[in-house]
Amino acid sequence: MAALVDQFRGQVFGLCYRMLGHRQDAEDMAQESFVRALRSLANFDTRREFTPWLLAIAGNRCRSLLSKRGRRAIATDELDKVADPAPDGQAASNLAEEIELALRELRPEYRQSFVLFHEQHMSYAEIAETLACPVGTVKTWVHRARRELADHMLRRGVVEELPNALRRV
Amino acid sequence: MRCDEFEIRLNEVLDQRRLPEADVGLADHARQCEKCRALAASFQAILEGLERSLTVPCTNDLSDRVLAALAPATTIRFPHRRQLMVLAAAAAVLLLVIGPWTWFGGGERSAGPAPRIPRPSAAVKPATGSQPRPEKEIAGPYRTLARETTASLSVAMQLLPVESLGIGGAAGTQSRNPPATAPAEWVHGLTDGLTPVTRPTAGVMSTFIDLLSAKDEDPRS
Repeated sequence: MAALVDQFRGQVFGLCYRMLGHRQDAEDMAQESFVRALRSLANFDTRREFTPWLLAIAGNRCRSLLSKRGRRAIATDELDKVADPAPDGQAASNLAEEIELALRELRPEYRQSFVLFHEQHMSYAEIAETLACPVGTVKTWVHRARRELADHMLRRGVVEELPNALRRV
Repeated sequence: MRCDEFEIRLNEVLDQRRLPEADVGLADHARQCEKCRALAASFQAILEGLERSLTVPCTNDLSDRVLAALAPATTIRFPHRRQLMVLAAAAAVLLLVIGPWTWFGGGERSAGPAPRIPRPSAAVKPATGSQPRPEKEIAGPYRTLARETTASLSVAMQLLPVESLGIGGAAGTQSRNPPATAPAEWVHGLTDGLTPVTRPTAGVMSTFIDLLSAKDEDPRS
């Protein structure tokens, strides 16, 4: 069991962290996801892929936590980041931080499908299996996530600092 | 290529995990259109930002935490615990009703299976021809309580569809109301009729108690 956790903890924790944007919550959800998966391992259909199944559990746990969060106040540190409309100099220069901030503003299903495609490098078919929805829906969610993230980056003025990206295109 | 086609094409290229700059059509349009160039640059910024923020380490003790959390899962679980509790409560109520009568009125039959005593009726005689059961003598301070319990039970049974309980064999076709002249006799016959009901209930109760005992004795719990 420990070997299985060690093998997949990076993927599970990565998804949880992207979904929740909070390290401690992500670790708790990763732990809970593994516990649930291992308890249900006897019922796992071996004809299915294991990774999408495991990440589906993690995604469901994260969405449940997010829905609970929606009914209570957001943590103060997160509120400060989200409520700041002006591009702070330090934050704008930190592209990774801007991405994290932009991801939090996405709808959970957009965020999950985007992270699974671009960060976990899963195929659309695997994501569709994970999210239990059609491939076309997943594609739409990923495209909308890209568009909303791009709008966020443009709005925050982050793209102007990346002249090399224009040349590459 | 129009601007709306540019975004569709850009998404297609990213869906195929290819580099946008490698697509000639995209590159040509981006050189001519500032808006689409900015869009492409923002897409590029997103991917670069993802790569930079990938190194979020997870604590090393995750597997230990998972294994520790799994340990309580080995305790015995009752998949139908709620139903068992309801059943146990119903059985307890049934025993509370039947218990006093069995204790005070049916004690002499507890040693072995009693002969079926048909429900007496003024209109139809019992097919077996057995004689009416004589009134039992109960000594001690419980005499009054026993009589009151028997009387209240007989009144309560008038409201029940006793034919469906199989009381009295051929007497099942008789009137559902016992004669007022011999309520105790009719109630005595109830024991045989209720046996099929009480026996499985008692069995379930016994099993339930065994399960609880097994749980208490389980060292893993």
